[in-house]
Amino acid sequence: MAEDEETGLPNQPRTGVIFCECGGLIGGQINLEQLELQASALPGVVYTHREAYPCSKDGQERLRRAVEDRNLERVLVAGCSPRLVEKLFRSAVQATTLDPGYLLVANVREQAALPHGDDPQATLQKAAGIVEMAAARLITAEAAAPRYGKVRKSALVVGGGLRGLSVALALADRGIPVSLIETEEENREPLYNAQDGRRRLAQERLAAVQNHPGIRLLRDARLMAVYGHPGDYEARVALGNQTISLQTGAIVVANEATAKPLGSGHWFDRTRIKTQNEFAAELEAGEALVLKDVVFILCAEESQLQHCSRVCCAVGLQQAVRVKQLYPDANVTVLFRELYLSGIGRSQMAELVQARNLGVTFFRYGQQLPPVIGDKTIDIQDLLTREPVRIPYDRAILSMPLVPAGNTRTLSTLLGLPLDEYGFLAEPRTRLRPGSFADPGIYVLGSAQQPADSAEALFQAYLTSARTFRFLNQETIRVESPVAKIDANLCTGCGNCPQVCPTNAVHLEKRDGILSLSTVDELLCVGCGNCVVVCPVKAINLPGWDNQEIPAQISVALDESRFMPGQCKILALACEWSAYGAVETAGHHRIPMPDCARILRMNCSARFDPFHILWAFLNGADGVLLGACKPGECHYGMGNLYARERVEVLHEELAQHGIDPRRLRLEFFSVQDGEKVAAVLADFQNQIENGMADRGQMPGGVRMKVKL
Amino acid sequence: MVKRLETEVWNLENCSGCGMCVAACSKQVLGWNGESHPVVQSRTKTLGLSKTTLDSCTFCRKFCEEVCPRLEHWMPIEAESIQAVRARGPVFSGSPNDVIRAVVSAGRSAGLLDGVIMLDLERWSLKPVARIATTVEQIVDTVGPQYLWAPLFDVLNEAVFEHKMQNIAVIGTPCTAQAVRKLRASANPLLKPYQDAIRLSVAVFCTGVYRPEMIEEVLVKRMGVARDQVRRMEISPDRQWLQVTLWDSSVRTIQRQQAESFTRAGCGKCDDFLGESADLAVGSLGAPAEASTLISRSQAGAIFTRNAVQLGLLETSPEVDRQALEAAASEKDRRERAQAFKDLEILMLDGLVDPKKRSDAIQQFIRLYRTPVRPGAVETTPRGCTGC
Repeated sequence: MAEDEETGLPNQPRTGVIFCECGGLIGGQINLEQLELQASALPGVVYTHREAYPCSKDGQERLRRAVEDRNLERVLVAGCSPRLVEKLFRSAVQATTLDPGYLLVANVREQAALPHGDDPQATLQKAAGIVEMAAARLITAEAAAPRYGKVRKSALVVGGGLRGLSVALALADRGIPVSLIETEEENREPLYNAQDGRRRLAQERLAAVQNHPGIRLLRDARLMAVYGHPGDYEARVALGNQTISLQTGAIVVANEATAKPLGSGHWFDRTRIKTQNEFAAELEAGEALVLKDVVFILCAEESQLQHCSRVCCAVGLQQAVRVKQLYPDANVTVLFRELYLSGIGRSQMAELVQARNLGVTFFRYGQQLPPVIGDKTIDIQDLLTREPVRIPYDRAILSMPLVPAGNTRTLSTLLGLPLDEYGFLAEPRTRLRPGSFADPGIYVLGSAQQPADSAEALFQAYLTSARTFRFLNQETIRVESPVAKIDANLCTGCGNCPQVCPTNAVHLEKRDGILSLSTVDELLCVGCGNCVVVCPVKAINLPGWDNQEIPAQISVALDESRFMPGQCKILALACEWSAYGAVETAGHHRIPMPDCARILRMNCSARFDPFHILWAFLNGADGVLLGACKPGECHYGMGNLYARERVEVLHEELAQHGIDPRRLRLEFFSVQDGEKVAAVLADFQNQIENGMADRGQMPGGVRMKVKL
Repeated sequence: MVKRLETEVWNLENCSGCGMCVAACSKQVLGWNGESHPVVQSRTKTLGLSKTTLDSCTFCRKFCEEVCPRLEHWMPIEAESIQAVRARGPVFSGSPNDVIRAVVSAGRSAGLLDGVIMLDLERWSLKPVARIATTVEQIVDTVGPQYLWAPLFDVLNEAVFEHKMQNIAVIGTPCTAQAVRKLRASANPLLKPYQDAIRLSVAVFCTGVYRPEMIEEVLVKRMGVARDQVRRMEISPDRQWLQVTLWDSSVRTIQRQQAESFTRAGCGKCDDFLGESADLAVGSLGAPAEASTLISRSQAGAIFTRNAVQLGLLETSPEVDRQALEAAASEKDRRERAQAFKDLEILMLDGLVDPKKRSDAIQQFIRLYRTPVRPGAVETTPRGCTGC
């Protein structure tokens, strides 16, 4: 930005402000003439205009002409939700000289016009504040240009189980070269599914994979590092003693869950007590077994109380039937807690009936009273009769839960995939975009994610291969999100940013000198801003949500002249995917909001910078409300959890410095929580006005009650 | 009182993890508890039927503050000599660790030292541990600093009070050398036993050390190497590779940058890359191939170097790329900026409750963030206004 010769201040870019009347919805509540007058006094504003519907075709055309005629460098539209219309207006100015990134929409409809209808003066004040905030942001805003990347037509499949093999075959049949890497030297499909033909199917698939010219099968291989971005990854794979490099367009993670082994903590006699897997191997071996009293215990492991493995009930039932068929004289008992007997395509109910007809005894036990395995007998409390039952056994088969494969955690760090509480790879956005991960070139399916039976596994495999194929079939990909930029002159190579990046877009590289340098992959960056917050030297910029724009906006938002004397001042940093949406919902429903709240749209709660929060307090905020997505709903994976952690630390520090930590409040919202956001703000205001226990004097000054 | 360490070092994630405060604590209430910094143990006393929490810290003479390297920002000690060196014994090598071994084993042979405190890798678990080496054999056997973090001074008390060592060399990272420097500068007479015992501090060039979890994550999980297969683990002399030598004498390598995300948080602000407080600093930066740069910064450093040369364990040459060293030293500014931001955080918090500091905090924020300010928007409280 050039500097003005006379004042020495940065030259203000030529700004145009368009006011939307929204057909009376805004114009009827806010005195737009006054607002226009106030706006034209803002620095840099050279053009203002009122319009009934700027979003109409005519309105867009007029906007386009205004940009060209007046040579505007920045445009601000004061209207409704930026989430709704920002894209529209940006595409309207696409053909002009104005970079679409320099167009912003300030929401005066949901935030000012709709909820504050009854007091015109306050409504005008608030609207003027909102316009001024957006104008402050525009001055320093930098446009984020879209990035394009080529898509390499090949895929890498991690995991050689039934799912991995199926995905590889499906992709290879469509002409995509596939590399399949498997950790084990031999294929290790669980034996216990012998009955439903899964093992045979897997072996057939394996043979097909080995003979397929388009598939490269790598055994004893381990993923060591992944570089690159969607459409063009470079994967380093350790193959025995050497490391090879694979170029690929998409990565499919299909590693299989494994049955938890019977740990050393169990004292059992292992000749008589087996896991399902071991027992299946025994049955498979075909040797005559001496079986008199066989007991199957389903959900044998405590942790199954937490997640259902979904295959073991069916397997237990099949094995019970098989034992009864082979040894009709044996007493077969099944102890179960719940029976999960559904599957895609067929139900195992028939097997249940068959088992009953063959004379298998069933007992149900309760969650609180699991079976107790004794030396010769098993004791349970029958849930139906509430009587204790003692069952003799000479063979007990425990169904062990499926747990994530050993390399799941490593894959999660390498590919930047979040883990759920059981250690499986979790879908970060189950509600918003199921099946998709932060990084569009990475696909996860099957037991890497959740245990599943074979029918479901195949279903997942074909679904994923179709998705992957669709991704690989495009020539280029286009990414529009803001992208973090690293100032190489400031970067200290501390290694903070790669640790917190949700998509693994940041890597450290060697450069001349002694310190490493962080680099951002532009196609991978989703623009959450987490790295900007953790950077100890603030060497990272995030155009659109920058370290210059946000503090500037905060100062303007908390400007004393926009508040009534003695009014309390609340700043709300609102994640645009949740809290900001909730504010708009509240506006739609005309739920009144406290006048004293100023809402700042942020891209993600990961971008809530402790420095900005302190800056807000220094600028006179009496309270700062942070609105984030509910845990598990973050658009960028775990931004809200990072925010929570930072708030906890900040609370501690505030308390240590004698400031009431209640002045900083973090709340979780969904988009529809309009009433909640209004209630929270009202409660927050109430809390602040009724006294905070601060030592010393907060910047807000005299109107606070000071309690020691 | 440990309060100052808590607010200015631990809470800001500045702790270097050297362990000097733990060693020096007169009440022995500092210890390690799985955190990346020491923690204060709380002690209780039973008086009749009531239990009282003892505040052991209150009446202390602040031993921890007096030795903490992070509470002081030192100017570098001027280098007396900078030379390129190679070890000629116990092994022929130019790697920094072998050079250090040559220097201290020469010192031990000549009777200048009776013990060395340095880091080693526990052979079974591959975890870094602090060790006292008393003989030349032990010195040669010890792996030396491998950029894996362990509190080095955990064994200091054992060396000084149990082994009654009078002449100790401390081999570590620049922060441990800073701790020694801080210790030496202290006027507290009760720290005298340590001051007298530590004769030499040696530092390797360092930009950060890794948390030991790195081994499990990178070695075991990514490379698929079991711990018991590993014979030796080293960072390559040029610091580009993590080298693992297995018992079948094959070598596996992984790029060091991949391990970088395991860097200790406290290393991010340290701007001493070249051991600027150490008597002797050694590293491969600026040295020709198969050699190390040796910077001697004090008389003690010069004596030990001369001794090693005289015993034929070290050969020196003047061919050092001084520009590379100067360039590295100039990268300090960036880390200093990190410190400025940490100071800003404290300043801002202070400014919230103390009107006198408020305008300073605002000015500093604007300066560091280059926030655009509308004229007259911020200067509401002129400098010096107490806001009364």
